[in-house]
Amino acid sequence: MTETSKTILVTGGAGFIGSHLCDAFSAEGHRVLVIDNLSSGRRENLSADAELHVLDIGDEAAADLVRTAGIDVLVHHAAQMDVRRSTEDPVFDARTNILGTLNLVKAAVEGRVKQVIFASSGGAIYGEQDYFPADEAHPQRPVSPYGVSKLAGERYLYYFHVEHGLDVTCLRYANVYGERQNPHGEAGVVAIFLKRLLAGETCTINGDGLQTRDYIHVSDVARANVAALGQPGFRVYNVGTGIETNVVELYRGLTAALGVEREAEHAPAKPGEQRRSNVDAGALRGELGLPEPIDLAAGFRRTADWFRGAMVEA
Amino acid sequence: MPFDNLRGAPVLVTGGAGFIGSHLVDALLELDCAVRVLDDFSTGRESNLAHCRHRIELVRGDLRHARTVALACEERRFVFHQGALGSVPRSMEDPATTVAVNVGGTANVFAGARDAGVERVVYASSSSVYGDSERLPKVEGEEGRPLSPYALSKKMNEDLAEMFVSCFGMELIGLRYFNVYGPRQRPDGPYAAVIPRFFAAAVEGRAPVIYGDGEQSRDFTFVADAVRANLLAAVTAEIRDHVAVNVASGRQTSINELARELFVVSGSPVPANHQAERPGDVRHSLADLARAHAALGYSPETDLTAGLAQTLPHYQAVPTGGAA
Repeated sequence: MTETSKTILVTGGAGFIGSHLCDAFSAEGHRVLVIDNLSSGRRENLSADAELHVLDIGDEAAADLVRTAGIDVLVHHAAQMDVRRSTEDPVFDARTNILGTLNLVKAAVEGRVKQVIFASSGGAIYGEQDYFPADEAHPQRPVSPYGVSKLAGERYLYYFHVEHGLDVTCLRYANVYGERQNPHGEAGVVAIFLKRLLAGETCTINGDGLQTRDYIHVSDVARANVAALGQPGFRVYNVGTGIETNVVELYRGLTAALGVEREAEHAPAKPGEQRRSNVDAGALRGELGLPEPIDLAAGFRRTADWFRGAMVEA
Repeated sequence: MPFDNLRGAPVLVTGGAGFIGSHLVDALLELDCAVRVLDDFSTGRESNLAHCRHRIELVRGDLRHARTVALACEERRFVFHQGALGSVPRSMEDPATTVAVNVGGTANVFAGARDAGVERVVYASSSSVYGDSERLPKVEGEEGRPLSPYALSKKMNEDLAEMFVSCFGMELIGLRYFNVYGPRQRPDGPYAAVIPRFFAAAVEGRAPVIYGDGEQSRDFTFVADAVRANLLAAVTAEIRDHVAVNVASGRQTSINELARELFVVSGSPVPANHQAERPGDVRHSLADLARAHAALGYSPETDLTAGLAQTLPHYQAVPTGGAA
């Protein structure tokens, strides 16, 4: 695609997913600005051509930047992303995810930003599913403050779309894993297992290990964001594979990717943990023409190779 | 309607991302079944289900993991057990994995289906159970000794099935596939079957490899016929004993004839590259279809020429290679 170059502001751009987006946007010839408070993001995740502003999304300075920097697209990934932390401190979660989002989106409207791409969450928004995989029309019953705050973000964006004509694309991610991942996000288990396996430590599987998630590689998420650029109207797309993978299978896949053999130990189940989750990304592929996601074995190999390298460096 | 009892039913297809399994999924969706697929994607491919991904439940799982299998069987009326590690040569190299997946996995499926109260399990067996029996055509009840770990694993599946029928009163039907071919069969990797190997060679202008003199014969079955046999097996009237039936075209074709036929269909010259015979391969194969007809009402509908003609576009459209 040879569209004109856009100025894109990626919040959370120094984080795991955000930094991959910056790379993908830069590769497409866009100018990339980053807002990140570096609470979990890391400067070294960013390539040299991304312009980093170390700011909190709740700050007035962040809003100023959105208003005045000539932004075409706000790609909003900065968030409190730890589901467990959201249950322990729902006020903090809401302050970051709801008020932080409002602060930026209000500024985006004032600064005549054309489009907001919003990192939402499939698993956390749908809650315990009525059917599998969940499409975008599945009832939304979040069962964590994090899920509530992500859904609230979508609803505020809908309001700004209707009231101010802002183009909005909400991408409801399944469980994203891949290079540069940290242990705190929704697919944090991948990072945790890889780190422990590389350190020669035993991994712990909570409960029977049959709880399922839909694991999508970060490169597919980056492709979805690139495809979302310039989409008009208010749109919501699931981003996932549609395949349920339980923790036992995940563990097997990761040990195979690393070429290690080690048994995991089982610990009691976490109370309140969702049992099954997967999303139908048919609309994304159909409407935005995205290719099939890369398969898990290939994604695990890439991720395992990166963790192996990162462990050597550390 | 012939498949009324299957229409709209919740079903599980193990190995549903594989070659035969994915075609079966398509047929079951045509019947408005609620389809759940269990596959570990070790040989199956996600792309085989890309066109219907939003209409099915897709569960990643290894057949060797009993609890994953049991969970997949829950609330299903029918189970179509297609998941297995195929290929005689693979089983010669790594017999333990073939036996673990094919025998242990099948036991997990049968046990999971029993515990979940599944009405009937249709499972994939293989013509290789005829082993060293030289009688032609191959008739159910006249099996020889298995010639490879793969053949043994399929024989053991049938023994397991018989055991589950007699011990637990389950309804189990085995389908002895004879060299099934068609679109989506993988041409790549060391364990590819003869037809996709030949097509890949023809499309790339290479000489196909024939092991031995090429006068060994097979009964080549088009995948749509194998799929129909599965549907028929699911709906056929009540069965009391374990049944295993041949699923084939009922026609014997030598590998040399196949190469000539492919030449006609693909329009590419296929001078053969003859290499040494492979251990564990049987010499001749041809199915007797009397029992399949009597028990299931099955008869083949697509002959080799028509089947190859329907298969060729797949290999022209899909470049070979990829994840082997």
